[in-house]
Amino acid sequence: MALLELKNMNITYKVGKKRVFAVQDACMEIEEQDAVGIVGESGSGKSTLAMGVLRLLSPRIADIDGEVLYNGQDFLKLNEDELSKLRWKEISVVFQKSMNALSPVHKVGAQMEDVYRIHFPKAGSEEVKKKIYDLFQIVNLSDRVYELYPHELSGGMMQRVSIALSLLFSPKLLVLDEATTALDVVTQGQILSEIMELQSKMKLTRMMITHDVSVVSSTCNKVVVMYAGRMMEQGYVTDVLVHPKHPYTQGLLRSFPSFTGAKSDLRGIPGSLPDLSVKPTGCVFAARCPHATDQCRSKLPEMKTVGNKWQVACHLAEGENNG
Amino acid sequence: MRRYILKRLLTGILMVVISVALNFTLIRLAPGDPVKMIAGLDDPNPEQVRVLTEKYGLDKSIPEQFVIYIKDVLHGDFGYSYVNERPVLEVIGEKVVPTLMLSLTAMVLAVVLGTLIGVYAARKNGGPFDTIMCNMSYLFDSTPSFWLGLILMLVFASTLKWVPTSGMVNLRAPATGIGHVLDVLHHLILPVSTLVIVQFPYYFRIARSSVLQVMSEDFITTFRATGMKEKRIFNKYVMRNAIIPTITVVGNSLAFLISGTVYVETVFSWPGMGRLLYSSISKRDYPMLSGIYLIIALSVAAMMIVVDLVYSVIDPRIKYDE
Amino acid sequence: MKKKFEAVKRAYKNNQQLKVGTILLIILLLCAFLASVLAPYSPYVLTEDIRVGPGVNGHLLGTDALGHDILSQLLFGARTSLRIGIVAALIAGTIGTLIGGIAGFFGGKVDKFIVEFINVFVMTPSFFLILIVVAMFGSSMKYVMIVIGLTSWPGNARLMRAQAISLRNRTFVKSCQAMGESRLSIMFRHIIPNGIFPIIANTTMRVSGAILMESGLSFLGLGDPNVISWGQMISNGKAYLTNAPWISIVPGLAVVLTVLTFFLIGDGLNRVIAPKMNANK
Repeated sequence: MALLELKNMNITYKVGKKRVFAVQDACMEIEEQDAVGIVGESGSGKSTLAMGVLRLLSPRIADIDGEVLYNGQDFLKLNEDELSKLRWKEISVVFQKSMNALSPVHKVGAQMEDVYRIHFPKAGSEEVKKKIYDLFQIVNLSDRVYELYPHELSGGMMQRVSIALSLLFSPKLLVLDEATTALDVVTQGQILSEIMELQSKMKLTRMMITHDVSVVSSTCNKVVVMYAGRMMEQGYVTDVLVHPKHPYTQGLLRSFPSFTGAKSDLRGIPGSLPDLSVKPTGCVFAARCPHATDQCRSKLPEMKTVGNKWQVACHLAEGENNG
Repeated sequence: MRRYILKRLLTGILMVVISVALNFTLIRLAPGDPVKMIAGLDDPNPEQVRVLTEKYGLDKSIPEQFVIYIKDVLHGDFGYSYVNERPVLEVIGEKVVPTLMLSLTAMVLAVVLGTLIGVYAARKNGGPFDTIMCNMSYLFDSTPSFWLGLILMLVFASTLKWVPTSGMVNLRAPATGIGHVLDVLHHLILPVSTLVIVQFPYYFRIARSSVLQVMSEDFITTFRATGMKEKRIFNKYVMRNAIIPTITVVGNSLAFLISGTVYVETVFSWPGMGRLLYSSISKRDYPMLSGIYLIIALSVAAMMIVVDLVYSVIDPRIKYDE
Repeated sequence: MKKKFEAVKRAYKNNQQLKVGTILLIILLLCAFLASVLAPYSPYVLTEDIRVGPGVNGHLLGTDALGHDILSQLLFGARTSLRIGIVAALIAGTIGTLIGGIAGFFGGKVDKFIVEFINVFVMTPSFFLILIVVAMFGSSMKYVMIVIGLTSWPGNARLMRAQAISLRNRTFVKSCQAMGESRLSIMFRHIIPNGIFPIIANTTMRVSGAILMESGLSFLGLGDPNVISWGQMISNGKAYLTNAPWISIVPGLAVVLTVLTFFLIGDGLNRVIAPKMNANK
């Protein structure tokens, strides 16, 4: 059984009377110890998807439907208390802007202690401290950080703090939301390799949200490509990123330099994201797609299986219809 | 830390000197005979003219006069009010207590009420309570305190006769001991209420908007994701972050405590600094005005330093050694 | 600039505050402009009716202790309040824009000096200064306007400074610099026009403050004695509060309404600039 399975998940933002269809019909499976990268341009709905899965979107601003099965249990149907018990112990997150991930007027250590006591309210302070120092060591931070305020740390250090915080209860599933985007290339590389090491050591399952295809190709085994709130293509990295079937994936790959360093034709995809408050009649990518046909503009393509767990939502791809 | 305090102290002194110089120059520049101006009397007697000319060196240049004035002030001589026929400092000392009684009470109430209601409104953001309070804060913010005072006086004193109309004590039946205290408190109700109503929107809005702002910060999402109870997130993390702007503005208002009640004191005949200020202006008692001005400038500077220090304690992001 | 105004137009539709504020403002302006047409009496004429209540003898809002028709005085008072409020706020807006623009755009020592100057200025008891100036130099409307304007610019200056700092590093400003346009010309042609919007909103808010200040001064008897002002009307009614409360109540309501109008517009404009706050609402 998959550790996490999304079934027809939709997330709709409510802005006044307007509705923004941020994520539509998301279906995916994450198996234990998978490392799944979710890629797409900014605004493609990848962060919203993560926030929705974690139920961090207030029902006042967003409607969520579909199913989010975690070990077969539907996350979206849990009440607050049941959810609180699972939070951070089973699934934890490293957020996009780690500089703001903790309260600026409280010390780092005190905040981590506070989080630890959510699930172990009776933990002695020595025990908590030891746990936190251990985690600091894992992520290469000095014990000194415990007594510092967030603003006294560099971006890379705060990122390590965020990772240490996320590992506090040795969760099964770790979600990294653009976790390394704001860092310089060297620090990013270091942290990514630390994360990979942690994954094998702690038997983590990882969901990695990023706009950087190269991060996915070097650290993940599976990939989901999103565009304008819809999943375009998903499967093993060795399939999807090597022989992309969807024109969008092809475009996305062309807009990044080749991993081997070979000079290739580097170009972006012309055009920009469509207005998400209007449901398109055809494929969401049709307007920017170089191969779009009349069918693409009039009929929504369905997910087709084209290989081993390899699925593409494109009329032009050959494969079995999932129905 | 020490360097920081020193720097603040210097800025404070600079501020006092600049504002006193400004005030000093303004008075010297005013149309009319400087002796008459400084005496605050239309027909000072020759003895007064002689004393004044000698004391302030009125035949000398304005900068020289300024130095003389500053020297006097440093020796604790704030001048002599010919209108009151008493030293300036003595009169001020007498009036400062009733004003502080009035303005401090009002401010504490306004801050506490405004902040509590603001925080609550922010938690119920968009709900009916929030909407009503926001509209009310607009309305009271637009209300002149003197007019509100008159209306309250009309309703609660003249018509309902629950509270006395004006003054600080009942002159017809002077009481002593605990009776006196109760009498003063009774007289305090209307002017304090007026001030609270016009001041509370300020604290309300600051509390409300800073809570809303903090609630939208990323770290709140972190804590939610960890499964921390909303109550704890709010009471510990939101409040601690959101209270900082309130403390700043409380400090700023503290600085203007002794000059902010002119209207209300005038309406309710409260014998404080505001009324002294008003009567000194209408009687053109310039030594008195300069004295009041200096006191205000000093208290502002002092408060500014205190606020900075408090601020640096509650907000670790403030660096002292910059 | 043009884009911003387009944004205002769009936001206007969903902005209740702006709508109500604008309607009120139009009514107020009509009252002020058409005061001489709308007023049933000259505001200075003493009628036979002394202290009659609203509605009596054709005096819609009654008369005061000397027999002035309150409605007529109210209409003419609107002229005073609006004129002083708007002119004072414009003075403050202009000074603030210039000082803030120079500080933010030029930066360095100039900026440091101006920031310190603003800090000192903010902490001078401006209310007190206004009282002294008006008391000593006379309380003609001109002085009242100027002195209120001269003491209320720091808020605008801070806003403009922040705007200038953020605009300074934008590509279009950089390219102007590269093309050799003079600094002053860049400031007036690019920095100020592109950064002025928050200052417009704030200036609208400042009109409220200036009107409140003016009514307070004339309530204390420090306003211009030659013009009709609401504060003065409130003050006139003080002695007759119990037997003729309308004399004070009516002009007070006028002040509240006028001040509220500018608050609503200013705050509405602010919401247009910062739609994030809007989403929170």
